[in-house]
Order: sequence, then structure tokens, then C-alpha cells
Amino acid sequence: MSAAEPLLSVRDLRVHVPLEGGTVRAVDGVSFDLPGGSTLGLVGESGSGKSTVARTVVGLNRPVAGSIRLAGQEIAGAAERVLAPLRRHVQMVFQDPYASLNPRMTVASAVAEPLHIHGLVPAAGADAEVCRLLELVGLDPSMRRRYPHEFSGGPRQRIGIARALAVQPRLLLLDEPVSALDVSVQAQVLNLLEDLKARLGLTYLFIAHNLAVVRHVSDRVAVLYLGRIVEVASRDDLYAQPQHPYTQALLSAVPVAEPGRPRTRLALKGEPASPITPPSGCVFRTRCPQAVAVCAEQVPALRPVGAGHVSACHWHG
Amino acid sequence: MSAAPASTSSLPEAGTSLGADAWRRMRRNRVAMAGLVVLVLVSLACFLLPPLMGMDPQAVDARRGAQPPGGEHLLGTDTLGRDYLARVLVGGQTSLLVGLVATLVCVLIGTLYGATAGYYGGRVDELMMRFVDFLYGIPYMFLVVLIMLLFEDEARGNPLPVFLALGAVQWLSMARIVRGQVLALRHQEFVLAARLTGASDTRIILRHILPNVLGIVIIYATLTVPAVIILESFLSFLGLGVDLSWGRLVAEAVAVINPIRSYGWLLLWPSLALALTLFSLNFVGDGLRDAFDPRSRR
Amino acid sequence: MHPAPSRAEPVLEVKGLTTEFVTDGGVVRAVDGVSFSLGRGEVLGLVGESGCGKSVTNLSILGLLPRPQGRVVAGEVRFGGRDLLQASEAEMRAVRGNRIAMVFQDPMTCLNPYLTVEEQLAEVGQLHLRLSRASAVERAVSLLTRVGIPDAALRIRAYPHQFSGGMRQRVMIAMALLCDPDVLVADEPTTALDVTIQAQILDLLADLRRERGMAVILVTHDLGVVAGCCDRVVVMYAGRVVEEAATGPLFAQPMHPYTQALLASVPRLSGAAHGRLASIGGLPPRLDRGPFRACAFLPRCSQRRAACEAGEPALQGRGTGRWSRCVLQPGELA
Repeated sequence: MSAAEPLLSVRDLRVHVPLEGGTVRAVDGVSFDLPGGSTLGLVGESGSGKSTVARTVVGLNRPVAGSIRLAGQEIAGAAERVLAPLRRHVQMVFQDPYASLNPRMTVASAVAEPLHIHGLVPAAGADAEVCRLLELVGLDPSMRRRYPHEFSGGPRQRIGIARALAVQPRLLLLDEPVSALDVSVQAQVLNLLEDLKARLGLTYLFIAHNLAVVRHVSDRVAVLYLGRIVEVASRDDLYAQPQHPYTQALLSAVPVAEPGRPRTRLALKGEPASPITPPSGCVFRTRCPQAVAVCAEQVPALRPVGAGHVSACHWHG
Repeated sequence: MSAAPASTSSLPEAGTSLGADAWRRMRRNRVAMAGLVVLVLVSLACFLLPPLMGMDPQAVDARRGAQPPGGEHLLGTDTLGRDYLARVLVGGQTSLLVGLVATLVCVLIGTLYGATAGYYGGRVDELMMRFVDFLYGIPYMFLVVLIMLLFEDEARGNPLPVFLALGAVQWLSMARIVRGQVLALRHQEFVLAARLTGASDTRIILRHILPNVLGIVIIYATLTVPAVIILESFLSFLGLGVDLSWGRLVAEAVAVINPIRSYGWLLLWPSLALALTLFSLNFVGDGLRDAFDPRSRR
Repeated sequence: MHPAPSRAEPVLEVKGLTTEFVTDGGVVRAVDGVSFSLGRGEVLGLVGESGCGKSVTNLSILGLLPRPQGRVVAGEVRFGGRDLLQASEAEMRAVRGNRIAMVFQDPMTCLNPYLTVEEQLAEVGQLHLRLSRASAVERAVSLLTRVGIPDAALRIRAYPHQFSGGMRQRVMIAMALLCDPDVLVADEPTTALDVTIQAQILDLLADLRRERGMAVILVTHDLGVVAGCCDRVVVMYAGRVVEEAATGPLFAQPMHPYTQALLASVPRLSGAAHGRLASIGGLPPRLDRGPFRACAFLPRCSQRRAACEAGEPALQGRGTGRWSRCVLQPGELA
């Protein structure tokens, strides 16, 4: 029995960004599959390349190497002409609710714009569709003639989601969608995203640095460090049995709202290495408490450490 | 289903745009509003009074030459007996029009040029801005005088070359300012979102970039008008400008000063008009800048 | 023989602090009747969401409110035997950076990008401790080493932008500690940092606090940070204190519906995942409408009673060192 082809399939993606001081290897060999209807969480700290991966998938960055297959079609480095019709299938929700909406456009105009660009509704029907979309994300449609600055962060993020849903995409890339929101508002938006996924049969690529949030929404989780994936597992496996030293340190560093719970902190030395001159071999070795000689010589491949669980560490496999 | 956020029911359904917000803040700025009122009054006086009252700035009357203010001639007469009130008002028409039109020219050229350079970036931007740098290097008065001399014959009475000359010099700053703003906007997430939705470059520039540049363009345009008026006055002072404007009147007044009689009022009235208008324009420009301050971003 | 230090002599005491801002839309009462005390060597967490007044509280204490819009209209801040709110600007300058130090969220905006770190740190020593330039620099270097900056003697000559985010925050902490302050006010010191760096900084703060017996006011919205670092917690909502307790009891048995809802809406690293997070519907109230005629949290509270509409509840004692501003008794809460 062959598995259905994943909705999104990325192989050995590399994105190098030229800067004054050198070339930043923002993404350096990332591969993953995203089956339709599921949520893959991409977790990492700043400089891990997770946002770059998302932006490359939607065509905002050009990869120097690698393959991106969306619904069976190769789109890595494709021309805008090829990407244009695919824009209906993939949309993105951005992090900053204050920068992701045009301050000069009313909510209605912003949400209706995708409808007009793709000719999805006749001009007269746009308003009704806008109202439907706003209700879908839990906003009062009578507010649609207001301007973004009249809303706070949570509602603004909902507007951004409504705009993304206007073209009825199959895949939604969420780049830190709740990081800029207060805790209680964050919960509202996360609940909304879960509802929408179930109702509309969406697939999510969820990028965040907040491990607890990622745990809440994801089916599978991939951990990134300095442009590479170091561990992939199902959600439960990753949080219960993290295998890679970085994942272990990351999880132990997250503050938990449970005082008095005994925790072993795996302290990491120093700071992440420079992405312009990454360390030889395993990029994590400069901070890894378990680094040995071979770590400097060979780049560890992602090796299986359990069912559907891989880790890029010389100690495994 | 997530709960709808509590709407503040006291607000109307139509939103207050940033423009409306800015106008509200502007209204509270007394100095700026005073400037605006003065500008409106001066403009009305210059454009409405002469035709309504049948004033003729060119009517020569040698018997009434060089009369001080008072009586029939409120502001006096010049050496050729022409009514000075009429000359100041009609001269104002020219000065104001020159300011307005030249600024419009500058805004149009500068905005389109700067937006294109800023949006496309890369080599296009480099080439376009190097050209601007090159033009910047030419002393602007030299450029303006050159243009004026080239069109000297046509310029007699016709202010068009003056508009063009002044606009041609001022657009450089506008282009730089707009380019800077567009460069910053280009990477904003709402522009990326529009690109992702499939919006064409044209649509992005017209609907997303330019409206957000409008604020800064308005501010600098309002501050360009006085600069242009001064430039025009200087040109007229040098004898290169138009026949009748405030600057020209000042030039003529200075020319007739002699040790016996100074004809003070000939210098006073156009200078006063210039000063009043320029002050008002600057206050309004400052007021607009404060009103558009993007600290409304909450 | 000395008895164990008790809370009898707090190092800082805030009583009834009320702060207002004059804005375009009216007068906003950002802080309303906030009181708490800080014991020697204690870490107090000020928790709440944006707009709750936690940062404004700190700015009010230190006299750093933006003028003329912001002003303290009532209250008392007792420190070192006097009321800081009555102190002159010159007196406050002698206190800031010296007896009470502050660390902010974004070190990039607090360090002068045009001066080297050496100049900025030495200035503190020269100003407050009357040290010579050489001694001030020496002291700065030793502090930088203490906060974990490698090669401090060399790195001190660098400019702020040449440090990474975590390193810059360490520099800020070193700067704050130069004069051995009695109180450190840390306003979201780790929010902008990566998780692993955040852990390092929080560990550092805990060590330093132990070494120097320094009291800390930690402002944060992150309940996890509070759980890991703080001895006591003050929960703020709409500019007022809604609950105060020691950390353990607060998390074990919150006594205000807002605290409960806040704790319930945070996603966890263990336990049940997926499913709905308990979210608090609605939005925080406006603070420019004058005094509240009912409980400030009422519109969003799922446990309201008729008594809630009668007027704003007062802060009531719920046992030793516990307070909550709710008509419901602890036993009545869900």
C-alpha cells in the first residue's frame, strides 16, 4: 500500500544569503515531508533558519539548491509565471500584527484584495464574501470598514488569517503567528487555528520558537539549529523522549509554569556559532556537552532512533 | 467557535482613516490652524478681490506717481502711478501659483522617480540615484538661471518656464525622500503579503506603497512651496522671473531707492505679504508633520 | 544571636500608587492604587498582560514617567527612609543606577550606540561611587567577567552593536550591578532573547541575587519565568493588583478568576495537549473612562455573581501574605 504523496515535500533545501561580511548559510540542507491535513511544527531559536524555510517555500527567497514539491509540482526557484497559479494553494500568516496589514486600507479592502486579484467573486459579491470570512475568524463583520490601527493585536492577527483564507488555500504557513500576542489572546488565536484546520481541512506548517505553543498545535515537530534539522519526531515522542542533545537542552531551558517541579537543567555553553562560518562537522558541537572528536570531522546524518523519529547525532545509529 | 471580541459600540462603523486622524490632530494645533487661515485669506484676497473690484495693476497714471498709502490708493502707488494694492494682490496670484504649480511638478516627478528606484532596487536603483547625485552636484541657482536664460524670450510674461525651472530643481530632494520611504516599506510584511497573494508590481506600487508614502509627500510638498516662492522671488529680483510677482515688486522697490526719497511703502507691502505667506506655509507644514506622526501606531 | 531575617523591614514599599496619563483621547489611569512591599533579597514577580500597568508602576517608582503626559497622582514609595515620590530630581538621580538599578527588555535602546561599553560602564562608577577612571574601569571589567563575558578586559572596548543580544543583556546587568544596588528592577529582561540564552540570564540573576542579597522586581508576562524565579507574585489587571501571593500557593491555588484563567490559557510542555486552551474572551477594559463602577474583570469573568456589579471589590486578605480582589471566597472559586 503506497502512502499518498505528501502535500509539501522538501529535499535538501539550501538558502545562502550574501551579506557584507560573507555568505550566511541560512538554510543548509533541510528536508521534510508534510502530509495533507496535518500540522508540522518547525522549532528553533533565532538564526535557526525556520523563517527562511517558510519564506523560501512560498517563493519570497530563492534557494541555491534543493527541491520543493507542492502537490506534486516542483517549485524550487521557479519563475513567477509558474508560481502565480499556485498562489491560491499556499498562503502565509505573519508574525507582526502591526506590520502585516496595510495601514491605509480598510479591513474590507485588505480581505477582499485576494478575491479581486484571482477573480474569485464578481465585484458585487465581494462584500458578502468578506463578511463570511470575517465571521469565520470570529470577527464582527460590521467592523470591516475600520482601519487596522483601530484594532489590537489579537483581532489584527485574525484579519490576517481571514485574508489568507480568502483564496481558499490548502496549505497555510504560519510564521510565529502568536509570538507577538498576549497570553490570553494567544490562546484565542490558537483555538481559532485549530477550529479552522478542522473545518476547512487545512494543512499547517507552524513555525515558532515557543516550544509549548508548538506542542499544542503540532502532529509532528522538527527542530532546527543553524540551518539544519537536528531532530524530527511525532509530537508526543519529541517532548517525552528527546534524543538530540540540542533538543534536550532546549526543552530543559523552557520555563514551565509549575513551581517546585524538579528539573534538570542542561546548560548550554556560550552562544550559537556564526552562520557565516559554521563549525565543521556537526554545527552544534561547539555548545554540545557530549561533543567528541568525530563531531568535528563528519556532518551527522539524520538517523532513525525510533518509529518515525530521526536525530542527527553521531551518538545515535 | 471563538468568541467575537467585545466591540466598542460607541464608535461608528466607518473607520477613521489615518488622514482623518491627522486632520483631527492638526485642528488642535493652534499655530498651524492660524497659518492655514492666513493662507486661505491671502489666497482669497489675491484671486478674488482684483476681478471683483475691477482692479488694474497695469493702469499707468503719471499724475499720481509715487503717492504714499492713503486715500484712494490704500497702499499707495508706485513711481508710474499704478495702484499698489492691485499690484500686490495680482503679484500674489503669480507668486502663489508659481509655488503651487512648481511644487506639483516636483511632487509628480520626484514621487514617481523615487518610488520606482526604491521599489525595484538593485541596479535600477543605483543608476537612477547616481543620476540624481549627478544633478545634485550642479549648483541649482546656476541651473535655474540657465533655464531661464534659455527661455528668456518666451519667458516674457509667461510664467511656464519658471515653473519648470523651479520644479526641475526641487524634485531631487523629493525623489530621495520618497525612495527612502519606499525602500523601508518594500520589506514590510503587508507588502510581502500582497506579493504572496499574487498582486502585480503595479498593483503593489499603486495600492500599497504610494498611499503609505502620501503622508510624507504631503508634508514635504507643503514645505517645498515656500522654498519655491523664495526662489522665484530671487529670480525676479535678478530680473529673470516674471513681470509681476512679489519678488518683482521688491526688486522694483529697491531699484528706486535714492538718497532723497526711499519710497518705503513700495518695499514694505510686498515684503510683508511674502513674510506672512512664508511663515504661514511653514507653520502649516510643521503642523502637518506633527499630525502625521506615525506614533498613532499602538 | 540574630533571628532569621523576616519580612519585618521591607527594602521598598509601595502604597496606593496611582498614575495617570493625559492623552489625545482623555485621561488614562494606568495604575490605580497599587501597593506591595519588597523584602530584602526577595524576588517579586509583577505579572500581567500588556496594558495592565506593570511597566508604568516601575517607571513611577523611579520617577521616569514621560513628562508632561504622565504624572503620579497619589501614593507613596518608601525607600531608604523617605518617600521617593516626593524626592527632587537631583535626589532621584542619586538613587537611580546606584541604590535602585533597572534592566530593560531591549538593551539596544538602553546602551548608547556611539559610546564604547567601557565609557558607559565607567561613567556609572565615576558618577555614583566617585571612583577614578582607572578604578571605575577595573570594577567594570571584574563585573563583566562575573556576568559571563569572556575576555572582558578586551571586550570592554567594543561598541554595543558588536555584542549579541544575550551578551548585551549581560552588559546591562553588569551596569546595573556596578554600585551594588539594594533593588534591581528588571522589566521583561529576557523576553527578547532565545530560550537557551534566557535560561542562562535567569540563572545568572539568581546567582547574583544570592551573592549580594539584592532584591529584585521582575516584570514579565511569562508565567513560566515567574514560577522558576520568583518568591512572591503580584498579578495586575487594568492597572490594579488583583492577586498577591507566594509563588507556590499562587500556582497551586489561584484565588482570582483572572489568575485562574491566565494559568489555564498557557500551553504546557507536559500533560494533555491538543484540544482547546481555556481562553479569556473579550479584550482588556479601557482605562480612560473614569473609575470603574463594577469589578474591572467583570465583562470577561466566567464566575460572576450579582455582587460583582455593586462596585469594585477591595483587596481582601486570604491568609498570611495572600490577597485577592474578588467577592468570591477561595472556596467558592471553580
